[in-house]
Formats: sequence, structure tokens, C-alpha cells
Amino acid sequence: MKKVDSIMLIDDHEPTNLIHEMIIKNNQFADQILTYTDAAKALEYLQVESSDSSPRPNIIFLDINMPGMDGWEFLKAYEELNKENKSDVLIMMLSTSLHPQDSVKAKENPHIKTFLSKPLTKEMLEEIINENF
Amino acid sequence: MSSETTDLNKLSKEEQLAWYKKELEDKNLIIDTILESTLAGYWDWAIQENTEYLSPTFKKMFGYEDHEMENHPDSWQKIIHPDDLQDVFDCFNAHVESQGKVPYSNTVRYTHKDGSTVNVFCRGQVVEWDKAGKPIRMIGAHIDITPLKQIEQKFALRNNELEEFAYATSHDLKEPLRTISSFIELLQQEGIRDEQKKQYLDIISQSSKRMTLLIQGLLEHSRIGKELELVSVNVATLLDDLCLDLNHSIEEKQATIEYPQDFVTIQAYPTELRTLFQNLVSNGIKFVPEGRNPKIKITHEEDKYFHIFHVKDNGIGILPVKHDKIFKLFARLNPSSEYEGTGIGLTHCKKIAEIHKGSIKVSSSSEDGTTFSIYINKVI
Repeated sequence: MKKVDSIMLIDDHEPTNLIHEMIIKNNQFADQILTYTDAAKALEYLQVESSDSSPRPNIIFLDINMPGMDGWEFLKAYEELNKENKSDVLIMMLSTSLHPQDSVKAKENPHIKTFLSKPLTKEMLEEIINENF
Repeated sequence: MSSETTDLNKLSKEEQLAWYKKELEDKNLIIDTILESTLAGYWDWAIQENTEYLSPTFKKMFGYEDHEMENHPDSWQKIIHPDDLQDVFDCFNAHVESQGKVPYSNTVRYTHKDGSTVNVFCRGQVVEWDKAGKPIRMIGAHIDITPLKQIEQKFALRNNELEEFAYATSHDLKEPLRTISSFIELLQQEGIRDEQKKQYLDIISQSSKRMTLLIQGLLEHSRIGKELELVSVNVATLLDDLCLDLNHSIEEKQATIEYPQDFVTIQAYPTELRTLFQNLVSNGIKFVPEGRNPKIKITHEEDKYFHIFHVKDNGIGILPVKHDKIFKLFARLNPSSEYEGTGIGLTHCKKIAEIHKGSIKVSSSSEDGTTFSIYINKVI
């Protein structure tokens, strides 16, 4: 099975992160998982130049509704990053259908590769990795 | 009507003239009365000379006296909303090209002399054509539909709120459910260790508790505004009771709650008003940085229309970009690991202020604290 170097999970809900981590680990989809409950901290990580100790994630899974910095605010700041600081693929994670207002906003955003409903499954991850890497 | 009973032929020329004059005055009176009472305006356009009579009620609708507005098409073209002018021309052209078969009817915006927007329903008709089929004269009426438009906008706003409510409800109620089913699936796997099992069961139990809290919050929210009883409320007594109830958390955090003992007595819904203060005071106690003792100060002022209460705390503050968001259902600004909560308290507060025909807003906020201002209408 194909795998990537690194996957970043951004979700304030710890149990969700736990589930996602387990699916990635159990199926060996990535060597490294970077988990953040605070989007601002995730952004700080990305702002630092890539190095062996801080590799770029190949895929970012981003939650929208978060206290503090939410998914939209994260995206706004993410757009400002240099290309080499960004990840290859960014995917928005949803816990329900998109708010009509947000739906328009999301479709216009070139950084969002696709939307997926929570929780991530083995099949979803397989498909993403096969399509993009 | 007298015309049906009067035999004009039996009258002299002068008498006939007098009769016609009276009849004309009578018709004018009817038209004027209708125009005044409906506040409808009318216009009469001599198309080929390009002059246009504009009735006094037409001008009054936009705040102008009769002499302040010239009887010319330019007069209304100057004050119509620029985006709507083309629609008017298109509508007119369609009416003329179809020889009147396509009705001339549109809804347009004008700017009132005082700067406000007047929404007008305009309907007209060409009443005279020349032999070549070109229009000579057109007459039409203006009806002010601004109040209707305002109601329409209010409905749109309410609709939007409902949509948001439905969205938030489905989103936030789904999250704990999804978590529960995911962890049940994990539990069903073979060979999980006991400590893992315990962790999963803890998560399931927390999620179901959270679900209960969310549903409870929703029920409370939908109950606000039902069975209202308007009475005189002594706000000092209300706050005394409230502090007694919050005694445990006040002592635990060594909080001080300050308000004048001779506080006002106002007309309000007591249960709801209490919920409002309770939420703001509890928030003030809850959202403080580690090591800071909560200090909450409640003051009152009033203007002609409102009693205004300011609730000032010394908490962690709210970023300006979040000031609108905090009143939305289930909106939380802080991770649950640091501050517990469902994010419905301020949504309650907003609804309570609204049933008191008032509002609530963040009037200031910094790292040293936040001030909420609550407007309670004097006439409910």
C-alpha cells in the first residue's frame, strides 16, 4: 500500500483526532502524524522553514468549526505562506453539510482540494493517497 | 350621482356650465382625497415635448414641497437609484414596442431628501398614441412600499437566523453522536487492551453527557419567550438572589460582584432577565486567566428609550473579530480543555434582550476584561 511521509490533523475535538490517528497508524498511511487541537499552533509550525526535524506535511486535514482560530481564519493565513511552506494537499473536514454561505466561500477557495465528512475512513485515505501521490 | 338624475337639456347654458364645474370640482376632490389618504403620487408625461407633471404627493413621498421639484422627467431621474434607472427604460421600451400590451410596472428605489431609501411601486400606461404608433402621453402612479420592504427584510433576516439555527443544531448535535459510534466500533475490534477500553468508554460517556447538555441548552433556548410575565423587577434584589445561587463558584474563585444597592426597578420578564445576568456573571467568573480573581461590576444608565446595563468583567477578553460570532448558537471561542461550556449562554442572552425589545453587544474588550451592554426597552 502507498504511504506518505507526513499527515497533519487540525481539529479541536480530541476524540476525533484520536480516531483519525488510529486509522492512519493501523493502516500505515504515513510515517509521521502531526496533530493540533489549536489551528494557530499548526500555522506556527508551518511558518517555520521545512527541515528534517520539521518536515512539510503532505496532507492537511482541516476542521472548520473550531474555537479560537477557525478553519476559515486558518485558510486566510495559510494563503499568505510561501509555496514551500504549504502542504501538497489540503482537505476540509466536515461534521455536517456545509452552511450555504460557507459553501460558496469554499468553492471559490483554490487551496481546498476537497471536502470530506468526518470521520476519516481507511477507504477515504486510500483514495486520497492514490490520487495525489 | 347627480349626473344620473339631472336632465341637462332642461337647463340653461349658464346652469349647464355651473353644473359641469361642480361635477369637475367633485371629481378633483375625490382624486385628491384618494391621493392624500393612500399617499399615492402620480405623474403625467407629455412624451414628445418631454415635460412631465408630478403631483404634490409624488414629490412629498421623497420629502420635497411642490415648488422644490421641477415638473420635468429630469427631476425623478436625478433621485432614482442609479442601478434602477435602466430597468425603468427597459420596462418603458417593452411597453411601447408592444403597443401597451406589456404592462408598464416596476419596483424601484429612490433617495429621499433626508438620504433614506424610498421603495416605490410604479405602474403606468400610455394613454395616447399618434398615427405612426408613437406614444404621446403616459400616465402613472407611485405607491410607497417602503414599510412592506422593511418587513420583507426582517423576514429575510429571521429566515437567515433559522437557517443558522438549523445548521448549528445539526452540526453540533452530530459531533457527539459521531464520536460515540466511532468509539463503539473501535471497542468492537478484537484484541484491544484494557486501558484502551477504559479510555474509549470514558470518551463515549463524556460525549453522551455533552449531547445531554446540548439538548438541554436547546430546550432552554426554545422556552425563552414562552409564558412571559411582565412585572416590576428590582434589579438589586434580582442580583442578590443570583449571587446567593452562584455562591459556590464565587467563593471558589474569590470573585467580587459589585452593583449599587439602590439599583433601579424596571419593567421586565423576571425569569428571563435573571437568566441573562446569570450567564454574563457566570461567564465573568469562568473566563479569567489562571491566578486572577474575577471582578464583575454592573452599572446602569438610561436614555429616552432604554435602560442600559453594563456588565464589566476582568476576564480574558474577546478579540474584536469574534464579537459577532459569540452570540451565535454553540459558538465557542476557547478550547473545551481550558474552559468548559456548550456555547449557548450568550445566544440565550441575545434572545432575552430581543424579547425585551432591546439588544446586547460587546461594548469594549481587551486582555483586561470585557464589557457587555444590555439594552432593555422602557416600553415592552
